[in-house]
Amino acid sequence: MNAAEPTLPLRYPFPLGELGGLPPLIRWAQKHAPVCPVRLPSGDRIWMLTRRDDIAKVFADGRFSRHLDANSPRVAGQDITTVERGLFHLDPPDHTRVKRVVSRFFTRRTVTDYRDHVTTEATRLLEAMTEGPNPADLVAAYAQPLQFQVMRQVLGVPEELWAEHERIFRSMASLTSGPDEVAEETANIRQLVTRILTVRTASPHHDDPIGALIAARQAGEISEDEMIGTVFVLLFTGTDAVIAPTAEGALILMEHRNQLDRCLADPGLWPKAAEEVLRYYHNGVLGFPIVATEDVELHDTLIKAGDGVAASMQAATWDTSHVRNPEKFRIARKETAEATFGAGPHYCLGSQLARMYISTALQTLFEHLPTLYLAINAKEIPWRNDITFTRPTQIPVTW
Amino acid sequence: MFTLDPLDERYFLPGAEHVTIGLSPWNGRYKPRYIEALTTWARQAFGKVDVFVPGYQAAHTLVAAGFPVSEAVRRTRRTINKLRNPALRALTAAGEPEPEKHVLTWTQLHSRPEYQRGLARVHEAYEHNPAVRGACRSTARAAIDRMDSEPEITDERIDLAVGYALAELPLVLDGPEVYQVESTMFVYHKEMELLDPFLRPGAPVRPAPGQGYAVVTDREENDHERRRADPAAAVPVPAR
Repeated sequence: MNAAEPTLPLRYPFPLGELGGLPPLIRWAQKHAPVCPVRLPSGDRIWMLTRRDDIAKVFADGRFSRHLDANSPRVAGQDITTVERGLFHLDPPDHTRVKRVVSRFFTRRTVTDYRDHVTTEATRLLEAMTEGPNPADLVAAYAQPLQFQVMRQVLGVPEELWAEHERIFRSMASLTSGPDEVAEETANIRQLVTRILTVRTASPHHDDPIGALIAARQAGEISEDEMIGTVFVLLFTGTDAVIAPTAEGALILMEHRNQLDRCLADPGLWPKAAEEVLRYYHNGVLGFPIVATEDVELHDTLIKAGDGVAASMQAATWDTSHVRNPEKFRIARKETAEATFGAGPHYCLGSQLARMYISTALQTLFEHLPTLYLAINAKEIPWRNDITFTRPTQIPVTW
Repeated sequence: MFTLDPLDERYFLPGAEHVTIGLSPWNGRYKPRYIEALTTWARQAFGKVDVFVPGYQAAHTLVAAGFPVSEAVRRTRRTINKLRNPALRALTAAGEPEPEKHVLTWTQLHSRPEYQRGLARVHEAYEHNPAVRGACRSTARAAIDRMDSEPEITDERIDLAVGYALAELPLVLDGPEVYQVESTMFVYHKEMELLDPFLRPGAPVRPAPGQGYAVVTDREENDHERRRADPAAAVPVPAR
């Protein structure tokens, strides 16, 4: 091993690339160690996949399961994967049955119904931001509150619990702060889920994902644990997951002013811009592990039964076998963000919602403030790589 | 040659393992030579040093003082670089392996959960404690005033400028947590009014264990100033 090669196993989390780009260690692994041993903050060891074809193959392979038990590897202790029987952790056919209950709220056609809501909330937040101090932090003034305000209505969080919802999700647990913080976060979300379900069960039925899960439970289509686990997953992935691409999208467009100007001149390009943002960034460097249910050999590496495997979806969208010059942000490129949403039965439920949301959030932002620019050097933007949804924590902007 | 004087004997930690230097913008003292000399000395004296530079909120002080926003932002960006570069040069020359990790704006430090938690505590204290609120607002007012502000300093302008003091406080109240050291001495060229309410008995937020303070004085500069003011004082005095 020469001096330029890192010591294995790699230790997660990895330092990010410039402007939140693909971590250099992942680039290295993609080239030299396609089934790469990685030690997680929990101390557990997993195999990391970084090539798009490998990820697609393994995540559609029935010899790997989402169902983790007490001995399975965990990223940082009692995280989301310890919540039993949520959509996230089920394998077919249970997964198919539970997913059917909520999937109709996330189709390409359905999500267009939410567009006006995103625009209205975005406009309101931007009006408030421009009445306040200039420069301002775009994450705190826009990206973060927008997701709260949109998603609590999309998912069906009752109004009396909005403040609680915001309090719990305002800061995410650090994966490196030890198992207690992560366990506390999981416990807090669990309590919120219970309270949401109590309020919603006692209220008149509303046709939204949480309402549909309650109705399915009452009709005996899903179990109590499946209802609770799936509401947990929807809240977890639906509350913080698009803060990152909204913030990162704004940042990278400000840094690529020509492409931003093209979008402003031709609004039909916003979906292309959102697609490229989703390809360029993934809101988690490494996904949650799955486990092998039997021995599997891949690239001459034996993945033993019980071993954990995790994928870097950002690596998949930066795989040079599929994407030319992946480090270049180009809204006109032909390659899509498809691989960022995963593969197999667990292909991201919210992919269409994410696309619509990010496109609308970025369009509204820049149409409202076409001269928005960074108030500091882009290299000074603070990023956190120690949270599940990696992202900038502040983006000081001026207008 | 620099010397340290206690700000408060209870918080004087000359044996601290680390020193924190805060650099102030638009302050004649913080010229490149001074910053370079102070940083070099601090690293030699304490072994470990971190230097912090204001974040984007510094622009709010200028806006509050009547500057157009675009000019305030431009000046702030330029000033941040001017403060940072001499400190970086000093650490590089001293053989610091990763100097850029030890000279950071507090915007950059926002990537650390420890800083974010400290910031939340400070905001909480500002909301609920009149003494903390008063000290932050008074610091903001003085900062606007130093910019030769023409407009009257209204509450609204102080509201705008106060974010600077709030962003700085976590670094001076809990340096050990932010910089992950057992103890640190925060050094500044004069006493800081901003710290007063946190050092008083019964303060709502107290300096963390291992957090020390000192006023740092450049003896050579002082001697030079004295010689200028009183040529007779330039006569060398034999050492005792």
